[in-house]
Amino acid sequence: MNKLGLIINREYSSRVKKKSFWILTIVVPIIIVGMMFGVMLLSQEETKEVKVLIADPADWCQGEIFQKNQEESNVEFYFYENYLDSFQVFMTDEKFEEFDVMVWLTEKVPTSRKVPVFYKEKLSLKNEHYIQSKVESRLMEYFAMKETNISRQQYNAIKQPFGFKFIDGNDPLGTDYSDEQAGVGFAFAILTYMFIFIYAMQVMKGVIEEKTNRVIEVLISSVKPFQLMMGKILGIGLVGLTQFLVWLLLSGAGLMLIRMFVFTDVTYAENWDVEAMQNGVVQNEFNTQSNDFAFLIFEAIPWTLMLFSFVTYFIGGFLLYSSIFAAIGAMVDSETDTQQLVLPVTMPLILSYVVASMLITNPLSPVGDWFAVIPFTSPVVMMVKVAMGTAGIVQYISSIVLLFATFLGTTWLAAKIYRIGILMYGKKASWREVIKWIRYK
Amino acid sequence: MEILKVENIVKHYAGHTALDNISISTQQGEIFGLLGPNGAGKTSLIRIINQITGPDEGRVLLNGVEITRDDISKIGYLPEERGLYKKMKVGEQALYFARLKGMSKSEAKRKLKVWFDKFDIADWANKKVEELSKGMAQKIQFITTVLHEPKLLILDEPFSGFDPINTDLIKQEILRLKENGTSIMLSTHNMSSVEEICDSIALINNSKLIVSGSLNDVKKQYSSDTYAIQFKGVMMAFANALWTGYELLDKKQLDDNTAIAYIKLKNDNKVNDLLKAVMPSVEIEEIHKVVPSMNDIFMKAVKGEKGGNNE
Repeated sequence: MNKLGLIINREYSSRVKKKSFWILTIVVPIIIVGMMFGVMLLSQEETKEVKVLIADPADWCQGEIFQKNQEESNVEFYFYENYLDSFQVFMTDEKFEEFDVMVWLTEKVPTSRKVPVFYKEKLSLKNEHYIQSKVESRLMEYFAMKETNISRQQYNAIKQPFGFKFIDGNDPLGTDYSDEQAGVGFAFAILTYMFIFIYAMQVMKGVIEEKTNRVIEVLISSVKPFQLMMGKILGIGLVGLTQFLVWLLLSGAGLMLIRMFVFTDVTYAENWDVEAMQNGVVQNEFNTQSNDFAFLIFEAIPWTLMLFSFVTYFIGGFLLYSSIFAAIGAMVDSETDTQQLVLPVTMPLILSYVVASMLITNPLSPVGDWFAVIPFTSPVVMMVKVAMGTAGIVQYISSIVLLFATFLGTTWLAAKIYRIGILMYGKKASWREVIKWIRYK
Repeated sequence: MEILKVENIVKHYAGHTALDNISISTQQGEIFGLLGPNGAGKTSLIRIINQITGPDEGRVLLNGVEITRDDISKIGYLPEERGLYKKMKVGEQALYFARLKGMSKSEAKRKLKVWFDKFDIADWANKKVEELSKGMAQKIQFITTVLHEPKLLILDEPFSGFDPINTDLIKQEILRLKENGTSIMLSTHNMSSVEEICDSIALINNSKLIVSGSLNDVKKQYSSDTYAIQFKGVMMAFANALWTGYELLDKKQLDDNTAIAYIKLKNDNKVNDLLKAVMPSVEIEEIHKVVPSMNDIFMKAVKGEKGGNNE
């Protein structure tokens, strides 16, 4: 192995072998997947079966509630045709123990138009709607037949519901996920920002560590300063990529499992929507929402492009910033001296974060176009534009080319500062000294 | 045979001159002591020899050829300010440094085992450096410096941080390396070890070379015709017995009746003349020529003095 390889290997393995690295690497995807699952699950229907007893002494339902199919809902209807003295009987009597809900169709119902429904445990909103609509339509049908002369077919023809759908006039086909895409893009922007910042800081800390404990003296007689700097940058960059890769695999696997076992119908989301519209099945609106979120996660984001962009911009941005941070590490004598120097360097990163958040509400902003190309801000800003699909191909490519060209420039400059700075102890270098270092042959 | 030759090296740093026209040369197989007070420019010179920094003027020759970056792997360099990765295991770290020097993994492992056994530190291989004492870490650093068996060793303050026992251990190792044909340049403040192990020295003060040459030559150069006479009798009588041809530099009363006088011979007077002069007055117990210690030479040279001496 050549020297650069040895250095990269040490920088990489000394970090990857740490327990803290793996804890962070494994815990984060668990949190991510857990949170996503939680969001999906929150409004997702319950799987627990709800047994509904219809106390119907007058036999209005005639022992029948029309359910399209069993899988439509987790609600099951049962009938009780004797009189009940009070609902307390339902709550306490052993023979009703297995039932969760009782719909009490007393003799007052036709006149009072009020149906008391007793539950033992609070029902979900969706199940309440379902029970109400099913029993209500059954009662209406009964009374329609009883009070008028129309046939069941006629009644059902009249009763056929009208589906009301509220449509965004700007997006009549309903495929606009731009808000959600912007959200995902912004999440990636934050991720890029964090990765660049955290790992570039690690490069700086590594340089300071070698400088303060004087390992640098031992190393510098065996390797060239440039090899040392690049070895550190590349080694730590690989640690970042490893972490991201593990996050990706674990999160991906987690989401796949959720998709396979929890949201099996997501693939057919469009069909599902259409069906819902035709039937006007109101009670499913909650379900639709959760599927929207799942759909966004699984379908609406250009994942391949996003991941490619993330890796590319992380590498470019990291190399750019870490070379500057390496130079800062070489300029100072201890970590406490760094703040003043780090601040101006992190300004563009912070600015890019601000611009990225602005792009969410104003995706076509010309400011965003500029910042998506300027190398110091492009890694963060471009992530939002890629997710929203507002980056042109020319813009995209020139942004990447510019980023990598700038990295070559900053590395060249950083190497000049680094090779002198690492052997200067005792004080923080002044800018005048640094400029002198750069001029040294 | 000359192994290392430094010719007219000049190095300026912002605002001051670190090395002012320094020329030294070291012979194959000798131990060369680079001496000088703190800040004299020793480390600057050593860094230039190791190609870590470049000189403003002058050049460095290794075996008669101008030194290049590739030659550095043939040099074993122990820097003055040396450190190890605190969180890294000792064995892993030693292996890493050895491989950076260009050794193969298997060779490095084999040789490390020999050295670890020799220094009786094989148990530490799996310990982190932060668990070691300073002296232990110094041993590891010494090993990593010599492991690749360089023909030239440059040791900057090799004894700093060692207790007397370990100082002696390192001294013996340095002498053993010399026996095996290694040329060694070392800088130190430890003057007694200079006398013990160095063959030649160079003394730098205020970025200038003040003295250089073999240890004996330097000592001769700094010795003067000074003798210490121990006698029984009265100091006053002794002093009165001296004529103008002698100078009483110093005196030391050992007990009521015994004293040592330090006498410098002047006007071509010999020791015999001195003895003749004082014998009638006192009873002489011992007389010897005062040879300056390295410490004296160092002090004198640095203070810009030359000549007279006493112990």
